[in-house]
Amino acid sequence: MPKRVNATRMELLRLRRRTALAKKGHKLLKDKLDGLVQRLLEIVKSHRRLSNKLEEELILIFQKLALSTGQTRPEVIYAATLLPAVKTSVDISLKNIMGVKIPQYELKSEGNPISYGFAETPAELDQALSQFMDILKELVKLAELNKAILVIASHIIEIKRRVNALEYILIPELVGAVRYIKMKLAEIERSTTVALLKIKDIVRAR
Amino acid sequence: MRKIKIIAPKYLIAPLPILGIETYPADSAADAKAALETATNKKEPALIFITERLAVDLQEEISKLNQKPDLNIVLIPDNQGSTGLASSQIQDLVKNSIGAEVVIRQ
Repeated sequence: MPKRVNATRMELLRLRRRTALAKKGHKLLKDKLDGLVQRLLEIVKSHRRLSNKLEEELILIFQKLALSTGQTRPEVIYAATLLPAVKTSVDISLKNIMGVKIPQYELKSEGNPISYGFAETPAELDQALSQFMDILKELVKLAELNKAILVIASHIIEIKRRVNALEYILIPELVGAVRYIKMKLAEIERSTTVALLKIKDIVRAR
Repeated sequence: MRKIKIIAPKYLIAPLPILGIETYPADSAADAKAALETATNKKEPALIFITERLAVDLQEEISKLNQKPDLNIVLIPDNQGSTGLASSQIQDLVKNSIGAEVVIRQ
């Protein structure tokens, strides 16, 4: 149902300006959408590649960890974990991709992981821990890509909704309103001309 | 600065505190739910890894928590391999957003 509009020249000018702005906004949003889709596809590809690579490595590391946990007395592991020599954390910075802020992670770790007694722990534990330490950087990268996909995908959904609202609702409504005012003004003009002709005829007849 | 946390069965992650990673042992889905709540209740930014087998029943909670900018919950395979949950989640998300499935040739 089209909105009621005042059929005046002022309104016609205002609506024309709004239509031009809406079309410009629509084009910009569509360009942004295309750019984001392109970036998303690149990120998805690298995510898939990295997750395939990590999957095989993680299975092996977890198997080693399970084996070493099974071979060691729980109190020995508990004692080794009481005072961790390694401090691990992740620093976050934000990267701007076409107005979308995506977190970038940087792994920070200090210290030597092998800081417990060797007498009561199996060699698998040392191997598993050092391998896990090596893989941690890539795991953090996987988490970064994962978050990037989530953020970009939600932005794409939002922008798509806006583009569709502009394309299928706002712009057609504005174009319709402009057409209606044009027709109404032409009609008023015609009716004025006819009225003038009629008045002229009446005046001539007298 | 974010902490790294991991939720997995105890026999897989018992030695990981040596590397400065916070561990939340969970042997069942119910344990995993409680562990996820404990790990996220601290209101500190965190990077949480959870094994796919434990995350099967927690997908709704995980997707809700992942909306928060401070949290990032990532599914990883365990010693038995991947169930394909993480990749199918990503695939569904991409399908919903761009309206097409992404097939990557190896």
